[in-house]
Parts: sequence; structure tokens; C-alpha cells
Amino acid sequence: MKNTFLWVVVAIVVVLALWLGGAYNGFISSDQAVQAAWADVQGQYQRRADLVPNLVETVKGAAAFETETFTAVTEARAKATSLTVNPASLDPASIAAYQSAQGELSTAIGRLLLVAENYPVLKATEAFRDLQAQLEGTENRIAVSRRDFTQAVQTYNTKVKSFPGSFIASIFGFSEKGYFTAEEGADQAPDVSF
Amino acid sequence: MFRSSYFFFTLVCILVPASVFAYTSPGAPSSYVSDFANVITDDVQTEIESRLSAFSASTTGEIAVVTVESLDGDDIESYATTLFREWGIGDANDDTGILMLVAPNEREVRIEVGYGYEGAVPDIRAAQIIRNDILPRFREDDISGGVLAGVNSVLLLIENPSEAPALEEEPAASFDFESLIAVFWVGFVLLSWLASALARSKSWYAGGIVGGVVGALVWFFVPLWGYWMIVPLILIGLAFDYAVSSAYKEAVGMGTNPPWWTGGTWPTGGSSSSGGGFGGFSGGSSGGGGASGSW
Repeated sequence: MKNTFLWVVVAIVVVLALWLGGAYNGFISSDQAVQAAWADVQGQYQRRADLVPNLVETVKGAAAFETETFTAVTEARAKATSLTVNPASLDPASIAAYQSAQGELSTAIGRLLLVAENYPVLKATEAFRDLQAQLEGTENRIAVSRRDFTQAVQTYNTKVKSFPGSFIASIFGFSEKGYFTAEEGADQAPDVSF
Repeated sequence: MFRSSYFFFTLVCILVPASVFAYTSPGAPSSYVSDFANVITDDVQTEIESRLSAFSASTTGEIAVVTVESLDGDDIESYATTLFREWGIGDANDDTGILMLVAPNEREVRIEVGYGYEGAVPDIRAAQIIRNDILPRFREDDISGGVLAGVNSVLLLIENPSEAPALEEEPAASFDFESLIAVFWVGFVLLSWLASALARSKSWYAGGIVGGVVGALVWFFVPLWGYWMIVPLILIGLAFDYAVSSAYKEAVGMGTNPPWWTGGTWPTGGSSSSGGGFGGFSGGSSGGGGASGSW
């Protein structure tokens, strides 16, 4: 009888150890997936930022006097590229700051494209069309990478927050991560004042 | 009554907008050309089909042409990415896949480029193909001609080696709940098998060896815990062996088996595979590269 009890205790310990190891590995791989997804998000935003100088130069060639718009885009780009988030600390606050900086750049680029709308000659040039195709492709890649990132974070957060995983998460210091929220008015074209 | 109808109303308010923009899969791919909207003529379909299967036979790449009745309110970009990933167009390692998606009712077209072809078919080229080869024919209601011209241009672009090489591939780590369940299950099966085997064996040290091996495995998988786990696990293994051996002796003395008895053999299972003809796509992925257009 005593032996049976001992066996049960030993079995529980072994199963617990196996489970703990499995759960820990689960957190690690989930965390890695989030970091990889974040690297992709930042890469796509960088890709967009790299297109901006070229876009500004191209529009400048046809509409040199729209200096205010050019300055706004350049400033927003500088601000957005100076802000990077360490993949190891993707807390909700830094994600929100990153999103707002990139959102400002989106608005500024939107205004610039709206300005370009007024110059049919510019719009017909091959250079502008190519830039527009690249910009559209990049915006779409950003959307996809953001979606993937949010999905990865939600999977991770569910694991961190739900019992009994939450227990292990707190022991090993896995905390909740932030993700992108739907932007207010992101579906509307930016207004432009002359 | 009021409460439940209010609740139902709220539920409808929450669910309906979500379902309006939900992606609905058009089904499984029938071949390289999946003409769900029935807008491509049979002879053009056969021609594209033979070109694309020849292309896939000579490279690791895969090109899919799909027409759909409706995008179900989704925009063509996210529809294309979701479908691309669902079907896994292109090689699983190289992501060399391209999806040409036509939604004739929405009058939209997209060339979605997998990661591996982003170098060979940059967004600019995809946009040019749509603008110069596809849209002019679509505007004259020549869907078949536009698709054929588009496929030819894409093939020409890829088979022309002067283009830039493919981008680097990034590995995606994944983990799901099922694997945790599997770990549990394997743990239990292993444990009861171990118990049976150790109980039957006459040696007193086998459990210690098993404990040591488990300790080494823990060391390997959870480096954070370090090697010191080996010692307690050897002791646990020895105690385990002792416990199950006594329980076994006791049970045999009474003419029965212990409740956890499996006989010390592995459970076996069979596996099957199928093949023949167009066997589906190879598991490639896309990150939203490419271009779209409307007419």
C-alpha cells in the first residue's frame, strides 16, 4: 500500500517535470514566433521609409512649390525611423508609440500622394507609376506582416494569461505583449488644406 | 424575454459585420488553373494548364491561376494572401509560388508573389504586367486572353535569369495546443510502458539509468535548469523501479496485473499516403508581395 502511494507520488513528479518542460518550450517557441513576426513588421516599415526620399524627389520634380508637404513627410519619416522597438520588450506601450509614429508617416505620405493627384503629367510618368506600385506593394506587405504579428502575439498572450500556463509564465518571467490596434480613420483619405 | 432578445440583437450586431468581411475558401485547387467563376475558355485553360505543369516540372516553382465568383466583401489583397497560404502555392522551403487571382464580378485582379519570387517578380513588374498585358484585354471582356497574356509575361520574367536572385528565407517557429496534448499523451504512454518494463525486469538499477537519461534529456531541452536535475532524477528512477517492482510482485502474487499494466510493448499505428495526378501545391507562403488592378 505504502509502495503504491510512493509510486503515485513519483509518477506525478515525473509527469509534472515533463509537462513543465513542454510548457516552457511552448513559451519559448511562441516568443520566438512573435519576435520573428516583429522583425518582419519592422523590416516592412523600413522598406516603406526607404521609398519616401525617392517619392519626395519625384513629386518635387513636378510640384516644387509644395514645400510644406515635403517637409511634413521628411519630418514624419525621420521620427518614424528613429523609433525602433527592441524585439525582447514588445510591451503594449512601446507598440502603441511605434504605431502612432508610423501612422503619422502614413498620413504624411497620403497627403503627398493627394498633392500628386493634382499633377496629371506627373501621374502619367513611368517613374511615378513604379513608385506607386512599390508603395502599394509595401503597404500591403505591412498590412500582412501586422496581421501575422498580431496573430502571433494573440497566440502568445493566450498562453501567458490562461491557467495553468500563467503560473509557469510568471515563474519564468514571460509577460503579456502588445499588438496593433485598428486605427481610427485609417480607412479614410487624409484631408488636405491649401 | 426582453433581455434575451436584447442579447440576441447584440450578438447579431457583433457577428454580422465580422461575417460580412470573412474570407470564405473557394475550395480545393483542382489543378494549376482553378476557374471557379467559369470565365476562362476551355482551350485557353488547357493551354495555360500545360504551360504551368511544364514550368513546375522544370523548376521548384508553382503558378496558380484562380477565378472566383465573389470576394465576399474582402479586399482582393487579403483574399489573395489568405488563399495563397491556404493552398500553399510554391515550394515549402523556397516559397516560389505565384497566384494570379481574378474576381470578374468585382472587376479586380491581383498577382500575388511568394517570398521566393519577390526578387524575380518585383512589385513594379507585377504592376506593369497587370497594366500592360492584363487590364487592356479585361476591359474588352477578354478574360481568357488577359489571363493567358499575364501568365506568359510572368513565365517570361521568371525564366529570364537576368533578374535578381530570390530573397533570403526566414524560418517561422510555430507551436500549438495540440503539441502540448501530444507531449502529455506521450508522457503517459511512456510512463506506463516504463512501469511495466521496469516492474518485470529483475534489475534494481534500471530505473536509475532511465532517471539519468530523463535528466540528460531535461538538461538538453531546458538548459536553464542545468545538469543538476540528473541526480534527483536518478534517485526518482530508482525509487520508481522499486515501487513498480514491488507492486508487480504483489499483483502477481494475487494473480492479476497492476492497473497500469501494458505489457511493456509499444502501441503501434499505421500510416497511409495517397498520390497521383495533380497532387496539390507544395506548401509555399507569401507575405503580400505583388500588385493589384481593377478595370
